[in-house]
Amino acid sequence: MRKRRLAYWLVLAVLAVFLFFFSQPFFLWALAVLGVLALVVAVLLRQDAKKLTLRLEVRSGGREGSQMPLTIVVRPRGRILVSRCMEVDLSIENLMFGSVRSRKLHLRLGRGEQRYQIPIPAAQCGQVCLRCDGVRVLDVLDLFSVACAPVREVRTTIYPRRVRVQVLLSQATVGSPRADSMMQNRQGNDPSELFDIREYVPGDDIRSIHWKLSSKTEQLIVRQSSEPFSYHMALLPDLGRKQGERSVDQDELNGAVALGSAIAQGLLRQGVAFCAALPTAEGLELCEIRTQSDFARCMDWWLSYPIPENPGASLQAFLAQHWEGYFTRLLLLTAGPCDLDLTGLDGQIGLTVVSAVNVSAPATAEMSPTTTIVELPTHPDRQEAWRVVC
Amino acid sequence: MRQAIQELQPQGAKPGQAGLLWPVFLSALMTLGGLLGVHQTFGEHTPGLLVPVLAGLVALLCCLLGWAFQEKHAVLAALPVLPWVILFAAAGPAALWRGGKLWLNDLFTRWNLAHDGALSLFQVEGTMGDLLALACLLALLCGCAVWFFVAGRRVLPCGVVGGLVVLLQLLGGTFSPLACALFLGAFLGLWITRDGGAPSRRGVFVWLAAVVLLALGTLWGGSTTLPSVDQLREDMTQGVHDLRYGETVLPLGDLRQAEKLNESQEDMLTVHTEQEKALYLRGYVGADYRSGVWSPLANRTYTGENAGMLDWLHEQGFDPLTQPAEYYRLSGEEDQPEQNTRSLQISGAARDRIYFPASLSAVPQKGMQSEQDTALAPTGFIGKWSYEEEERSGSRPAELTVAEEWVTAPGNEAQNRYCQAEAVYRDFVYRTYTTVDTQLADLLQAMFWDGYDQEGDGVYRALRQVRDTLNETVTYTKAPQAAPEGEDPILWFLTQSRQGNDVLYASAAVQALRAHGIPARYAEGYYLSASDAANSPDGTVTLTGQNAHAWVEVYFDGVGWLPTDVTPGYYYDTVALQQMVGTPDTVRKTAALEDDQTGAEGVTGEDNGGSEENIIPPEAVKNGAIALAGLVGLCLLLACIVLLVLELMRAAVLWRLTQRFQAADAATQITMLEGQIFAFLDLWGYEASLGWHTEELDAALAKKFTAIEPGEFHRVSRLMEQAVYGGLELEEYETRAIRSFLSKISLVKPGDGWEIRRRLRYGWLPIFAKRIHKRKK
Repeated sequence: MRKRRLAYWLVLAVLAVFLFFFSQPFFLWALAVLGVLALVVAVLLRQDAKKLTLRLEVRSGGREGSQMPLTIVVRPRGRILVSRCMEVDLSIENLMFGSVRSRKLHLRLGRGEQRYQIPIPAAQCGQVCLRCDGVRVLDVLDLFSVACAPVREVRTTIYPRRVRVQVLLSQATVGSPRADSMMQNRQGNDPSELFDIREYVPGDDIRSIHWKLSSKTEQLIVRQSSEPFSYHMALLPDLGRKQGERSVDQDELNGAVALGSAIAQGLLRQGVAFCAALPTAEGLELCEIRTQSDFARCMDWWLSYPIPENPGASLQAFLAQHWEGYFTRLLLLTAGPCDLDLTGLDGQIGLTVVSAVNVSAPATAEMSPTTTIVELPTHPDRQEAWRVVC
Repeated sequence: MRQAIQELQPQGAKPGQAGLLWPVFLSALMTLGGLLGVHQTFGEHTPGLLVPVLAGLVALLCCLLGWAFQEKHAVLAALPVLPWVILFAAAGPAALWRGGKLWLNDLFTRWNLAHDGALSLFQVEGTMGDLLALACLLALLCGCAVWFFVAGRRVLPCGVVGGLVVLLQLLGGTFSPLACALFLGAFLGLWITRDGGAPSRRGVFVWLAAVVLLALGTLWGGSTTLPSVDQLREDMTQGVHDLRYGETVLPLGDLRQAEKLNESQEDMLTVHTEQEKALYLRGYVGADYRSGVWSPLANRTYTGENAGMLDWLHEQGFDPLTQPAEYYRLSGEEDQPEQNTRSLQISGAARDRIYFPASLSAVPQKGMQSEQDTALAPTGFIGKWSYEEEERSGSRPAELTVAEEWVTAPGNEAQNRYCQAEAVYRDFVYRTYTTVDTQLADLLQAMFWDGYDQEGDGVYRALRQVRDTLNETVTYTKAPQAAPEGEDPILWFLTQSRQGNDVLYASAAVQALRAHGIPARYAEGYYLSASDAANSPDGTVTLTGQNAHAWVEVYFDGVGWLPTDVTPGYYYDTVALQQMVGTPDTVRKTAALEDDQTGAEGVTGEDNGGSEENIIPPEAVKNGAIALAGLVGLCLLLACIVLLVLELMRAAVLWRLTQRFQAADAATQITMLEGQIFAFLDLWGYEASLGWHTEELDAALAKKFTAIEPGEFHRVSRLMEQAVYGGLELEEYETRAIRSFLSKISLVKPGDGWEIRRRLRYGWLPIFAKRIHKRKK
């Protein structure tokens, strides 16, 4: 744009020089025409910029390794006079990996509403935020650009690719869980346990009315029953973007997420409920996963949270909370060759470490009485099926 | 790093189909504009427009067809050459050559007329057919060039070439607004589609509006110029000139500004002279009188039959600017006047001219150059503030000069050479310095020469006749009234106002002498009187604006141009002149010089070698300068040759590499890429090979190149190992990753120094060649 403006000025300057040295009326006329033309285009472009709106449309989810079509919809409110195209600075941020890619697009304007489609490669899983950092409209002479109204960002989730994993449950137990185990008290159908109270709503079962409390207040109060449940298995993803000096390969991280997802689904298929310890801003939080919808909810949450710089923080948080006392099996998920310090868990809990590595070598496994460390190659091209004993 | 911009079309848009129509239309428009412009340059010898237009359109069509179908039929790529072959076969190179010379002669003639140029013309006899052949050649060139620019969307080269064609028309005085409008319109069309494809409707509408307005502009003005712009240009040029050289108080030959001559009271020059005598310091010489203005002779006067005359005279040792001093020098020691060294310092006078007397001994080589046979000009950007001159003249007025006998009968070789050269120059002077203004001829004859006794006629008598006539007819006034618009100033002076100052007196006298057949010219400058020199205690005199003067320079056969005066108060009367004839011509030295005997002997002594050697620069210096310039030129030429060879080698290697790469299978391509990558890494100082110390190198590269991310080289190495060692076939995106890495370490980035640019351009060639050779082994 700056070069074109400079070139236009150069043309005007050459005409001015010719006019000065040769005094031909035509040059004065041409100078006036080109100067006024640029001025008029600049003014009309501002009008066009006010009329144009832009919207992003994308599917709510996609699969890692595929391409996500992003649709950009341009809608003018009225006739466009001098605009040639819209320049969009598109920013694609993967919240999980923390990567940001920028692309500059020129959308050639036609008549009426226009739709433009570009494929967004989904090379990394995680939640992806698509936003336009800048939207400008350019004129037909490419001299001026005027900013347009800001565009709302859209988000989509890239789910990990499918990995064929068969989950086998180990019968061995290590350590003894606490007497109270991991009791999660939540709303259910067991009337013997009170979960919560609330006001009566017409249609509620009158047998659930808490008469004692209701007599003390002016309104009817109903009881909500709870459903305590015990969990013996925990899934702990402990990923990091770096391992020492080395950056963890993107494929390894994707592979770890894919393995975690596959293992979790495998457990659910066998009817095994488990807790997933996922990182949050406040630290580690346990998610109950009993059904597919629980899994989907947790998956979305996990995919939207950024992978920390270095691994090990989740494991440390797990140990700090002494959660190893509540479970009999811990499934630890890492990316890259495992180099975590697992001594804190020795003898406390049955441990299976699943590492996603990006090597061409076959899978390896290291076994000890209480700990199994498995390194599975998870290159996207590899199609093997794995069997994991948890 | 600048991002690549991705162009997106709306869904459902059909690209490409209308893409050919627009460039064809633009090309046709631009070709017509170009042909019209070229046609105008032929001036009055135009060979017609129809045939060249057809030729241009045929060239355009051939280029278009060749471009459109070359992929299907490779032989059609040669189609643009066809019209050229036909033209050369039909007309022949000789006719084109003659036509070219005729065309150039036309251009040069128009240039010489418009800008007082002195370009030589070619000797050629041609016909209209030759011009037509040339016109067709130019039309073919125009058609091919236009397609080259439009098809390749080369906006900048198109603008540059178009601007040059317009400039050519303007310089030749054959500017065509219509041609310029057509070109500008097509250029604008090229501008809005410079990124390729067809323009949008909006683009076409804006373009159309601009083109219509430009076309309307061709109806305004025609061939006349804008007076306001002309005035502005003149004012600005004058302003710049005044800033550079200082303002001049001399009217510079413009008789309508005659009153300006003695207006100023400011100090102009400070002159130090060693002799007490009158000196006319010439600053401006007017030889050609037109519409009330004296101008120097036009440059074209020195072309044609006079071409090379001045150079020949210089080769013979004859310089019109120093002719009188040379005459005195050859006249013998007893007759030659003493040399006078003068130094001059400019305080208020304009510095764009050198003020020197007609009796200058030699032209100082440093900082000055001759302007034809009339003046000296400084070569410095702001002129010259001070200089020293040697001059040789007597104290008698010039009208008493009588040429020595050796002028008609030379006694030695030097005198003979002088006489031969002087004869040639005299012939030129009589042909060019005796023309009289037609409006004045009759009046001058009647006023000055009717009743004139031709017996004993000579310069002295003629000058006396002019002085007497002027004394009887007109009166002197310092601030004369300017002649009315449309009236000739000399005519007005002699017949109406009858009042004038030095400028008008001198102008009338020059015309009168010319009417009598005596070569004369008008001169302006500063007058240093003998009394001023005598009254100065140290020989230094300050000349003010009041000393500005105009006089007549008359050509004395055999002697040269000498100053004579017709202004009352500036010449001796007849009695005084007759007394002078009877006494020897002695020049008194100034007071300062008389006190310092040593200094005077140094000036007037026998040994003139020192001073003359200082004035005449040694040939060795000139030759040394030429030799140095030649050496520098030779070095530049060698550098260009080396550069050319390097570029050719690079182009050949790159072409060969490209051919081999395209012909190779996937595995070999990866091997070649690997070779290039490590060649470039070698260039950057990293001794590496595939699979060795990959991680260290990855870290180092990520640190050095901002465009390379950590892990990128590691990944690229891994891919190459898979392909080269493992024999695995890589996916397309993996190959792209390798190429992307190669481009990051091999392309020049803004901000890179010359050394890096040189290495990246040429340095990798031998390393890569060695690697390939090693691998072959």
